[in-house]
Amino acid sequence: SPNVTIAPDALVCDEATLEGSITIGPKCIIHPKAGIYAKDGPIVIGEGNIVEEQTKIINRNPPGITGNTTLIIGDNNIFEVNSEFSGKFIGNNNILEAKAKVGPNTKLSNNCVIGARFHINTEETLPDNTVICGDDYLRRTNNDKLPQQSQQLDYLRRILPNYHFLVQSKPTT
Amino acid sequence: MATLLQVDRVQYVFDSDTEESQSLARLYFCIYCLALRSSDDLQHEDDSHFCPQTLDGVASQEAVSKKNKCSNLWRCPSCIHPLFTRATSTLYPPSGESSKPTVKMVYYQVCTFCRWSTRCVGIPDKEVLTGTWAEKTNPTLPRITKLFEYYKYLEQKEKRDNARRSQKKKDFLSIPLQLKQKYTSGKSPGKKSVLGDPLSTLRMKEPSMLKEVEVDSSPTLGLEDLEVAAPGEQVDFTSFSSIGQRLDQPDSQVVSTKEFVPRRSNMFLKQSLRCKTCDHNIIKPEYSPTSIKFKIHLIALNHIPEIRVHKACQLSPGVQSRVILSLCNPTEHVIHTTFLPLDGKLRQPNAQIELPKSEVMVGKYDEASDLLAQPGASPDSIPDDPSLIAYRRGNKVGFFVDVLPDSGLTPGDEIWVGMRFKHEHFGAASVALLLKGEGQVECTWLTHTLYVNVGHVI
Amino acid sequence: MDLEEVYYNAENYIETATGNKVSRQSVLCGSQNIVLNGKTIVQSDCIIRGDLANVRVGRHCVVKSRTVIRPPFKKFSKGAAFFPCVIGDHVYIDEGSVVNAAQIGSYVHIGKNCVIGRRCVLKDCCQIADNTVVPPETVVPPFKLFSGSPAKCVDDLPESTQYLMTDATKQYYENF
Repeated sequence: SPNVTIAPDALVCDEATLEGSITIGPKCIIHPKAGIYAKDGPIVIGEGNIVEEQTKIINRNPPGITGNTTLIIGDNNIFEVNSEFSGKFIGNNNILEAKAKVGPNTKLSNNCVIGARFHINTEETLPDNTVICGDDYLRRTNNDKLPQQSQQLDYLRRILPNYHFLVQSKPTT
Repeated sequence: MATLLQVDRVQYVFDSDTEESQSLARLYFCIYCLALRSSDDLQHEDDSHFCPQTLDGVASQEAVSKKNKCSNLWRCPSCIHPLFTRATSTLYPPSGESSKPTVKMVYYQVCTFCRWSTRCVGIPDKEVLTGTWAEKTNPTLPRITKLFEYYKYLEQKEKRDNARRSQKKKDFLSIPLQLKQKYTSGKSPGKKSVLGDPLSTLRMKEPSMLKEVEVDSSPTLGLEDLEVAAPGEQVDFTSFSSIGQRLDQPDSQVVSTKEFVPRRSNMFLKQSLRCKTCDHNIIKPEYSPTSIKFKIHLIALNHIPEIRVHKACQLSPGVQSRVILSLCNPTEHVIHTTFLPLDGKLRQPNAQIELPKSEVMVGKYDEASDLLAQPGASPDSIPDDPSLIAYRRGNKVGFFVDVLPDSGLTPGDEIWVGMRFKHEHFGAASVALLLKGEGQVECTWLTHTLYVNVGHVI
Repeated sequence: MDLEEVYYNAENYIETATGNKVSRQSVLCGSQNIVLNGKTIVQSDCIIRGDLANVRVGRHCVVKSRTVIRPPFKKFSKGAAFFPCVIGDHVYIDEGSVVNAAQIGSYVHIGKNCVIGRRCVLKDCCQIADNTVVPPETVVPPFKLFSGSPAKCVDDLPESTQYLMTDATKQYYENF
């Protein structure tokens, strides 16, 4: 795809689907079968993010709004298996657990955790350090810092190239 | 898997009086009384307890002394999920002797689901892995013990008053008897001393020293005591506990999330089942919590042939259709089954069924033939009647029945048919003896009533 | 009720010598680390990540479409690694589930759209209902049905679970 800019030390597996104008920051890891669709505008992904398989990061305008806005993703976020993000903004250090779904109206700030199988589409910006999970829509403010993923990043960076074809980054002109 | 096989579609009647039925997978078979039993008919006995997380077995008496709570497993107050102990190493400022900062392992508990941790509420980290987490004492415990004492005092007082009253009654009855004994028989002089004082029983016993216990009544809460949020003030509901969280800690019932405390978690139970009529054990599990084997395992599926609906079919009211039912023989003997119509039972099925008239023979369960997985011929080597037998595979047989749903049914209704079937049951003599030619196997014919849900009305 | 026959397009499935039937549309990364012990069915659009660590699946297992089997990640004091994922015999994993467990016993039934967290251990003869979330590192004891999010024990399974699961998985394989 022509409009994808990948930083030199990001690892993007070939089997991932990248559509539209995407910028991927350094140290990111995109697992196979991940999907990043920049339909209605470009997507900018910061550094150190992990996008696991079956995830969908979609830049799609909410119904009724037209225009071309950028979806900005910060640093060190983790998008676990089968999660979906179609909002407009994510800060740093967030975790979207497996099968989590964040709708177009929500914005996440920093250090948030969206629990597994949790769908959220409220029109708000989630404050920092919020944890939402469970059947009862439990919402909590978390004081602890979330664990750093640097070890996982290093390990993945070592073994993924052995098993997958990677998309080569183009030299920036 | 109960939903995979839809075992609830075929219900076996286990109680002939009340016509209650259950799927065969949930029934047990007592080989001594030769009857189907359901879980309610059996006596449940506690075998062992185990901790759900570490799966350590604990004997029942020890569990009772621990009040059925696990010693090491704590529950997150926020999402009622087990807590895990995590270790981190932290730097401590240099102590007196060493000049370098010391690195120590400290442990704290964290919930993996909602990420609540003991650090959120300020409980200090512990330096030892197990045994140092303590449950918060109940703040109302002194009052509860005092109330207990007061009630015990009342109980003693009542007992004493009752004894006094009944003593008076006894005295009235015994005086004439004593006088009679005194004047009519003088058998032994030694007895006189016993009867010497006829009024001795009238003297009351010394009242036992009872402590007077006083309890002041608890203050009553009025409505004015409730907190009311000022109108227009935005409530931060993440700092308040929900009702579920509050009721999970019934002794303290905290309102603010900052006061959450981890609680001990309950243990799970392993039970053994016993037949009430003949007092034999039906199910006896192994002691180890992780094992799925049983010492005694008399489930109905192992002894009674199972009838299943072979294919889902759509039936219309008033139209006769062919349905295939399959019969599976779990025993190690060839069995013959006959089908009989229902005889005037309490539950009325809403369809008529035409059952096979002749006997159906089903092969025995053979583990070796399982691996071969080939369709087999009937055990007697007589070719099967194709209008009756749909297929035959090892110990399974499919046979045709004709079902005629009643005409008054609405679409979407389930169609139930009832039937009885008779089969042989071979006693406990082992196959090894049979092969040797010794040992007569007792053969009894058992009849079961069952109701089958054959499908929906389109 | 007996299971119905499921028809599949023979071109879409690869059948191995030991009787495993694997769909061509599934992604099996690192297939040299994936061991399927025999008569296992892997349906379409599954993802099995053998590249992260070893994955061993027992006999007569059924993995329905769109599931993800992923070895869990563990941090040690000296570093981090992905742990092997071991699945026992006669396991039925329904559609759409995400399995991050470290160990799954035999005769287990996992419902649709479940999320099994990291490093979970599911013992033999348990069941996870549809749409449950099993939080990381939970241990699910035998003969229990877990449901809800976070998963709690809801029911006890009858002792005949072992036979029912064996029967169900074998029938599924025969009818496939």
